[in-house]
Amino acid sequence: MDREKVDWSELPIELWPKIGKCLENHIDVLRFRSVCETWRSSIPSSHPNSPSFPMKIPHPINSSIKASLTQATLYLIESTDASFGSKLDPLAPSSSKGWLIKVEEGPKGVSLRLVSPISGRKIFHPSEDSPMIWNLLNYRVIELCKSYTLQNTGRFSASVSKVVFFPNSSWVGVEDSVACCVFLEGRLGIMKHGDEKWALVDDKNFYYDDVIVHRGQFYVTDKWGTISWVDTNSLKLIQFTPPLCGFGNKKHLVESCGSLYVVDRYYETEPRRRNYFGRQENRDAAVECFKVYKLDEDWGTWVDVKKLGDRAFILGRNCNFSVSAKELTGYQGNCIYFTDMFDLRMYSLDDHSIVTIDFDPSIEKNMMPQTAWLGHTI
Amino acid sequence: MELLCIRQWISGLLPTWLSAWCIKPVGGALVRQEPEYILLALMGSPLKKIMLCSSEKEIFSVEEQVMVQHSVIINNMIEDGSYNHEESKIPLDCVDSKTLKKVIDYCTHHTHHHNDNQEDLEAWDAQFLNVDSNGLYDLLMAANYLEIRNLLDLIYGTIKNMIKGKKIDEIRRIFNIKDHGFTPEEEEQNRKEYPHFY
Repeated sequence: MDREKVDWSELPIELWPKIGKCLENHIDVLRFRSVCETWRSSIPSSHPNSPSFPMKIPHPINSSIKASLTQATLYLIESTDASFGSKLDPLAPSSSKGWLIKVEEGPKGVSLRLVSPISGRKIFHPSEDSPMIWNLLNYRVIELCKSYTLQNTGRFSASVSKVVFFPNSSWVGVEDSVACCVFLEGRLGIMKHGDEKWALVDDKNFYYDDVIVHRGQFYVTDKWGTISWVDTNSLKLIQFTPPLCGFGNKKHLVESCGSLYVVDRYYETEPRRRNYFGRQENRDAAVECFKVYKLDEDWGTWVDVKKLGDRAFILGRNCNFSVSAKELTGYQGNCIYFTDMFDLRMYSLDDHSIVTIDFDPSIEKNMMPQTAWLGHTI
Repeated sequence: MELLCIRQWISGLLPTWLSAWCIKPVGGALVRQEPEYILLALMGSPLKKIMLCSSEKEIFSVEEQVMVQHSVIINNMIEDGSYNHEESKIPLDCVDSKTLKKVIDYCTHHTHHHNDNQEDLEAWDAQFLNVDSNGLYDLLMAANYLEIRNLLDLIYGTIKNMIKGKKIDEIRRIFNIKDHGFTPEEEEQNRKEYPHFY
């Protein structure tokens, strides 16, 4: 005897808030609240005091001026059935794979803008006369990760190479949040929300390369690749891994499938020493190769990773992440995507070759609808 | 013989470390379990069983410790003495036989296998929740009624995964929500809240 499909709106009303509160990402909460009136009224859109961006915080170097912490979100747009998408639908992928977009939030009142997931450059619409509105409500969207930038006004140039912020959930008040940054010259800074200035962690040392949030904690890597955990209460570093002794020039931390990886970047020539007022990237340096290491948490040893399988690592301008290449258009597995000077490049772990890619994978070609592209020649 | 005397005698025999060891989770809190029951179990005494009766009047016999460990409702019934072991069965009129059997399976597996490694338990849970939308709904209602915390959390996690990444109309179809109850103005407001760009 076949039972009719049950109507979930008969569920006791007190259960929906509990289900809604399981959703942490803002886009999932928005989606939940858009399904029906019952679900919408069961949870608020966020904690009244949850983090909002851009956020004014003390400048890391000169605490008397304010810098602006902006947030960008990486979304994975999944493909839908052919019946949903159409040739004219700008975000409909041409194959069954999805693709990656990075959306940067502008100041209040100004619309969001698309940036490249790898280089962080703004993506311009070819035509200003007929702007098309792409609303993420119409697509299957999964939030992958968030990245942060510190933008400043005045004559102090961008003095940090990486900043991370945690927690950034709809259900947590901003007073619990902490920001952690790596300065250009390699020092490590921490700021709890409400502090008047940044505090230095391990201030005698100038050799930190990268910081990441992993399982709700801050982890940093030094120039040798050893990972330490940052205790935000005592502002001390606790060594988390045995020494790695990676001989490359710059280390990056990437989280992939729940594990931490260190990606060691080797330049062809020794780069110039980082400059206090210096540029973000070494303009003269070209990348020779990468080595990848993974921590075996059971044995507490480093494992040399020769193959990433289906995963691709992306060393973006403000955040590093990994994706599954078979689910995305434009990305190949077992590769590392990075920026080198201003170019977008791809390193293959198969044959250790590096190619310059002439467009941001899956962005430029698929973003703009065919008709609009052809109709407005540049 | 009075059970009370036996219990006191056994308690006296137990070393402190064993008494301290006898804690179990009930409804999310850790509660001291009567150490003498553990000792009785270790000595090979038959474990107490209780009877649960589904809405279809089918009786299921299950170890008392298993249900007491997971269900706050059943634990409360046993502790406040409203359940008489010899005669009663606990009627669960809002849970049908198929669902009750699954709930009992869940509780039994988690009691007997709680020392297994996390990956195995998670794999078992994933297999357990590989049911259709109706089955999940029934399990959720049953877990809510019986107040089984860890099963509820597991089901919430599954529902969260059913919602993540889907379009709104897909979610409405999955959960069979026929009438969303929004006015056109409210729908427009929803659209505006979503990230959108030019």
